[in-house]
Amino acid sequence: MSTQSAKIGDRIPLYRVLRDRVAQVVNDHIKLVLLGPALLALFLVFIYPVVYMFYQSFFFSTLGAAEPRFVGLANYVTLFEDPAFTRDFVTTLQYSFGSVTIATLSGLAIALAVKQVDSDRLRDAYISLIMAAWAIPLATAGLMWRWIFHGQVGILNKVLRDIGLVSNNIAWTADPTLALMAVIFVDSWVRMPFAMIVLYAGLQSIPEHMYDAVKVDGATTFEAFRHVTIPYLRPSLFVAILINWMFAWRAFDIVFTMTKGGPGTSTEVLSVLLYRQGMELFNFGYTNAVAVILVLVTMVVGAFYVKVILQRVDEE
Amino acid sequence: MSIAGCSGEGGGGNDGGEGGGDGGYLEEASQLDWSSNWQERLGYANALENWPGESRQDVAPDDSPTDWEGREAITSAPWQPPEGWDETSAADVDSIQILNFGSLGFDPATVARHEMVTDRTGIGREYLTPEVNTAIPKQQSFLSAGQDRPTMFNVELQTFTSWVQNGWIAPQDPLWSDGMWEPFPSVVQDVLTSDRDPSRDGTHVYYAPQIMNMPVYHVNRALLEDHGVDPEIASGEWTWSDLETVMGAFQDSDVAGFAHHGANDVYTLFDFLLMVYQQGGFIIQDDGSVQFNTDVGQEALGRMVSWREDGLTPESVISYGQGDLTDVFLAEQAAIIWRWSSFISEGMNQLGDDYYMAKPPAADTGPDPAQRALFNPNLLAINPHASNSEKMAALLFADANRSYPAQWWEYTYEGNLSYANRVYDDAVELKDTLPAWQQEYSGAIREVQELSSVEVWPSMNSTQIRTAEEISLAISGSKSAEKALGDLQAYIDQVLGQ
Repeated sequence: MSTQSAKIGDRIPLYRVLRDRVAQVVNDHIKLVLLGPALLALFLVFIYPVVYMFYQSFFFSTLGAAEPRFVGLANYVTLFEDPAFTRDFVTTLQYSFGSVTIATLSGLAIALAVKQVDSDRLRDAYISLIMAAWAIPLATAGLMWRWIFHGQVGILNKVLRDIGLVSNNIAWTADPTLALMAVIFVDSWVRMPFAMIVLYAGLQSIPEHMYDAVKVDGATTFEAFRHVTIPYLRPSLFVAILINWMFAWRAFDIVFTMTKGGPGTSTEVLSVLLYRQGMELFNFGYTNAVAVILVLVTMVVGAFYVKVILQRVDEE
Repeated sequence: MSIAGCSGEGGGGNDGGEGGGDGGYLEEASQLDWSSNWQERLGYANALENWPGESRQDVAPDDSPTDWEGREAITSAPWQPPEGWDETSAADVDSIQILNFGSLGFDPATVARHEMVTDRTGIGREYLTPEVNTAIPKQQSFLSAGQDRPTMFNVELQTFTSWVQNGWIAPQDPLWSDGMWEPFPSVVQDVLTSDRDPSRDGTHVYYAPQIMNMPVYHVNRALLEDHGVDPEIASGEWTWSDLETVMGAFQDSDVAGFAHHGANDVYTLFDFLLMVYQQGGFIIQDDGSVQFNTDVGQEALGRMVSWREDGLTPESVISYGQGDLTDVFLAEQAAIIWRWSSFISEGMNQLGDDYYMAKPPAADTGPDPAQRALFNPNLLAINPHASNSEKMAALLFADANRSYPAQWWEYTYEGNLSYANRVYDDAVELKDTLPAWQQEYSGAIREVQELSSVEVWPSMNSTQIRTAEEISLAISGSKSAEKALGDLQAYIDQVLGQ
């Protein structure tokens, strides 16, 4: 066996020099090297588009206009003076909070029920079935429920009539109030599986001895739920509520496929308004202003939630 | 057939064409002789002799409507590209990309004429088939981005002027010279031309004829009979009063006597326009202004609102958009609906003898009530950002679009209207070779066509969308008809600066 080592005066090949230099740089900046590609992707697909969207919101830009024209805050003034925006903002609040409330409560109920199942196989089967709803694309789910809710040929009316609950067909998506309730229900239906699986995982992490302890103290089932389950579930509830709300706040697919924002404008949420202004009316500056509001509200609520609620959870 | 418009005067197409940014496409296209012998080349001369009925019979089967390759109807069809085309840059093109609204299964006549071009020239096709509601945003996207594909695309009525205004349509002037408009009604020249391109002076040809839709009414006589109504009430001459009689008979039933669109959808606008035209009214006034808030407009919307309030139309009508009426009709949940004439064969197939096609009802009020419908034309445009060679190739397809065989297939195979008058006369001659529905209803369709019209105005897309929204709000009870039309008119006045 022989070894070679460089001696003073020996010529070192260029590739080895370069290789050694690169290795040195990588070692010195290892965090940047590992995170860099991901950060670049994040910048390209998120940060840059959001910043550009914000920038575009200060311009008047529409089909037929020669060049985008800087108008300062005019788009925002128009937006806040537009009764349609205020109306849709309120509708979006109702939609998102309604959906999250139903999804979280039903997800929790199902998670609690599934946890009671003794058979592992049966429990896994239930979870798989419930998760199947999550696997359906939102637009598909919207179309499917549109037909279920159809006033004349929908299966829901048929079932309700067959079991005698109603005597006439109900025009679910033709009545402004019922239509809003219908889209909220469907949105919660697609979001419930996520809430369920997160809460189920949270339930799994609750130590059994805590239930034993409160049982020894004479606590009822409800008291055990209130004083053991809920406190331990808070982090999971936090995650499920925040993430579901963020998606529901920006929801488009369900509303657009079910009602297109109708009847009239009773189910028009901000994302549908954004679509109409941008894709149908080609009012791009105004559209970007709406999008900025959507993003800002998401960030503010998310930041508040993380700062205040999570802090409280951590303290507990 | 008539047109009213304030998009500029229709004029003759110009031979050659000026305008910046064409990169020689128009110059190269002008070097071809499109106009000599055009009657023979486009198949209009002696059509019955040159293309006898037997040769037209070998068409794509019903269960495979896009299977046209090699069929005798294609190989014998009387269309030829202009002489010398193979010495132009078009000969270097292997295939072009075409954007079609919706699946080709619903546009078999489109496939037929494209196959004819491929058969003669060897230029293939690659299709994009977005659904029509998403196709317009898609078009806006690739046109504004200056993308060079797709090379050709459909254009709906509401975006005719908008796309030209933005300079997003390549002119097709070389195709047309004086005299070549002869096979078509005068309205066609007005529809295909525009003077709104800011990069060009004067009027130019921007589109080729593609599809012409016209609504007719579809009736289920069995449902009428079951509800105590004369099953032939809609045959021949009938009015809104007869329609309300039908609706009244179904009032306590789960089935609707008549259903129309009411969702926030452009098809709701068509319902409104039909009722305006059936009264003898128009949207474009004599002074050129666009007016929705007129007496006939108030009457039309007021009726739609009162029908729903009185329970004459189902509550669900407020949620009916494009496609819903056909579903409801085929499910036998509505006795009468309107839909494009291309639906007739499907109605006959599904309902058999229970089905018949009716002409539109005339209004029972208004300045000039008549059984009118409207036209919804769909045209073919060329992407100005495409390469010169692909634009040249697209021009060959545009040339085929206006040919006799293309118009024949649109009418006899697909059930749309033909842009060319000659087709209707020949359809009468070859009646026995036509599908059953055309043998029965061609005459009625022609009668409706003669009374119908189309109106075109600037910024049509945004005004149509807002119109559908206001109508939908009124029908749903969120606004009165007066307020809805008042708000709409205020918006239109602002947009159009009138």
